[in-house]
Amino acid sequence: MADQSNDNGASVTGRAYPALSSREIPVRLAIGTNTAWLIDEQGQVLTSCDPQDLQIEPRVGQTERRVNFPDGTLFLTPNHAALEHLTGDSGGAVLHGLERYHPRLILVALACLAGAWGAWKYGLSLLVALAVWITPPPLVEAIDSGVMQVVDRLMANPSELSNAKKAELQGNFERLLASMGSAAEDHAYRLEFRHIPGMGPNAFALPNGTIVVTDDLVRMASADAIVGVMSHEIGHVAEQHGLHQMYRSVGGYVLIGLLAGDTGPILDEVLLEGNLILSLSYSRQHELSADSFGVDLASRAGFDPGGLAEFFELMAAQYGDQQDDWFSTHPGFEDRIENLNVLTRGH
Amino acid sequence: MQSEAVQGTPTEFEFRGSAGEYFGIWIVNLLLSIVTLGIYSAWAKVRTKKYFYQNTYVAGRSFDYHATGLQILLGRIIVVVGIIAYTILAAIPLLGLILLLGLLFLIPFLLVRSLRFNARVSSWSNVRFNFHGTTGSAAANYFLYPLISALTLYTTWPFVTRTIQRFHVNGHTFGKTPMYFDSPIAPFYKAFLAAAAWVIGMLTLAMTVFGFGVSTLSALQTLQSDPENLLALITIASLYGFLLLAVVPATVIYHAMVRNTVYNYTVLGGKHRFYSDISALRLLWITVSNLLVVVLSLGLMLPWAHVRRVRYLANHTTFIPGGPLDDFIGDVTANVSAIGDAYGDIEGFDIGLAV
Repeated sequence: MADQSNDNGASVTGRAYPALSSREIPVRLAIGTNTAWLIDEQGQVLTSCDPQDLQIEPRVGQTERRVNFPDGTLFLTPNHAALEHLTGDSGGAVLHGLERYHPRLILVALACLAGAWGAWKYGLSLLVALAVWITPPPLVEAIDSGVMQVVDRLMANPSELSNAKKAELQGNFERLLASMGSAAEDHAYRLEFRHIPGMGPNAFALPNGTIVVTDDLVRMASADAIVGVMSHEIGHVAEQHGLHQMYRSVGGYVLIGLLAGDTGPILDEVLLEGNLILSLSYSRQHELSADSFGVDLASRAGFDPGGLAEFFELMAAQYGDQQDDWFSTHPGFEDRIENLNVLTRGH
Repeated sequence: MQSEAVQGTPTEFEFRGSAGEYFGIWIVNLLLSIVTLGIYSAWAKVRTKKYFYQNTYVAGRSFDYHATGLQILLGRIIVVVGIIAYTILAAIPLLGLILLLGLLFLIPFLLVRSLRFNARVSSWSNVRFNFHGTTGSAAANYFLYPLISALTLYTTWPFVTRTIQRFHVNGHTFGKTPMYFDSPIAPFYKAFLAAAAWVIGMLTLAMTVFGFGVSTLSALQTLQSDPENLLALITIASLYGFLLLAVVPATVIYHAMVRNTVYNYTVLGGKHRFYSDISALRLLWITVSNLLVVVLSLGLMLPWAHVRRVRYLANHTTFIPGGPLDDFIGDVTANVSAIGDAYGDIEGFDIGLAV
């Protein structure tokens, strides 16, 4: 049998290890039409099999090529060209060719930058939309009721507004919902009044449709301004900004985590900080988007579309303008008023 | 091949890869990972690991990494789904707290799974490693002992480091061959004092500079229209500066000295020994200069920095065989899922392992 394989001229030298053993044996690999042999220096056949059953590992750089025999014997050789010629195997050759140290890699580096931008801009948005879509509704309901319990226990007192005032605002709220048509059915919209000391004239929305208005807001703002704020918060719910932001930040975090091994510890930190700053910009975009949704909704329901701008003017007069910078979750009042004025001119 | 000649002769670890070659692998990995929104990162990890393992030789025999991209991907998918579910469920206030407690119990379990997975997919000279540590001892080593050490104001920290190294080394086997590590406590205290000396030295230096800093600050305050902002900026900058100049180098020094101790006191199969003579200051220089080069090159020199560090570590690690290298026998082991490993990749374990 050994003679038979010797007849075959083509072979590759290397070393072999029997299955589950560290015993190193200098051998050569020979391949005939129906059989592949490992032959040691004495000409003894160590193992053989059908060439079809050889498992040849793809090439990684200049590291020794590994060939696994079905019985667990491992063959290693640094003679890449000879092995490829002998086995006709070009597994992983495309990848290996691409990885070769070559000026072409500059293009690959540039493509990385473009790819990162594209992944951030479109890829992540796509994944986030998918995640929002498959989120079970009972979970979103549980978020609303859970958050309201915590708010009631830790921050809020029962509203001190008169029932008449509440009824009036509730009426306006329902008028807004009615003008949304069937879209109002998508979420469980609910208006809640709370006295929250320290929060000032404010309102917030939870993902399932609970919208909380503070007593201070009702006392300080006009009826139109309150309608403007309510329609803005409805915009947050209708466009599912809460879930989007949550998934986006976790999505960016996971993506960076997956790449972390390849970016190294410093770049990893930079990317995480960048992720945070970008999600803030995302939050500002959502505010502006809810603003325009609110203006649209208010005017459709027959209210003054300038209500929201009026509210921001009140806030700016009361608290001064905030700096609109990279580190804000909300755009500055001046910017929003300007933006709203542009929007309301259209109505 | 030359196992007889090798017997008893110390042989250095050797890294045969090159920065240029790794650059190609790294940048292609990065591109494919980005365009596949992270999916390829599983295969990228395998390729990188293979490159480094297969290029590391001891006595002319190389290491190898056997995990497949699909294995890593499955682990990652499970972890990512878990993280997403955790995020949305943690938004429900009370449930979030319960989940956090649950995660605390899950971490030692995942850590052990990760160590086991990594050991079983790593080999040298065709024999795979294995890890036998238990979740209970992981919890004791990473939660209980550090807690007790905190009660002593961390003056007993070297004992914690030693017990963690024991957990790691003694938990591993090379095939059927056990690994054993134990050492007197003195070398650990020596490392601890060296690290502490660096922090104290830097603190003293910072004090003298900060005295000057306060006077500059008050001068600037009169000039600057927004002193509050400036103060905040300087506080943050000095905190980062302190971390960079005091804590990070101290950690590098501590790790370098602990690594030497661990290698010098580890015995494989009762006869084979190791020797490591890393210079703490030299490793510190490599770490700091690597950091600067990587930042200044916008990350492009990362492969070079990585190879440089690995080569230094390999060149200062020696294997002292106590018998033939052909006699190690592998163990047949079942596959372990890559969930622990994936969790470690995404969330990061701080295992303080001296490798």
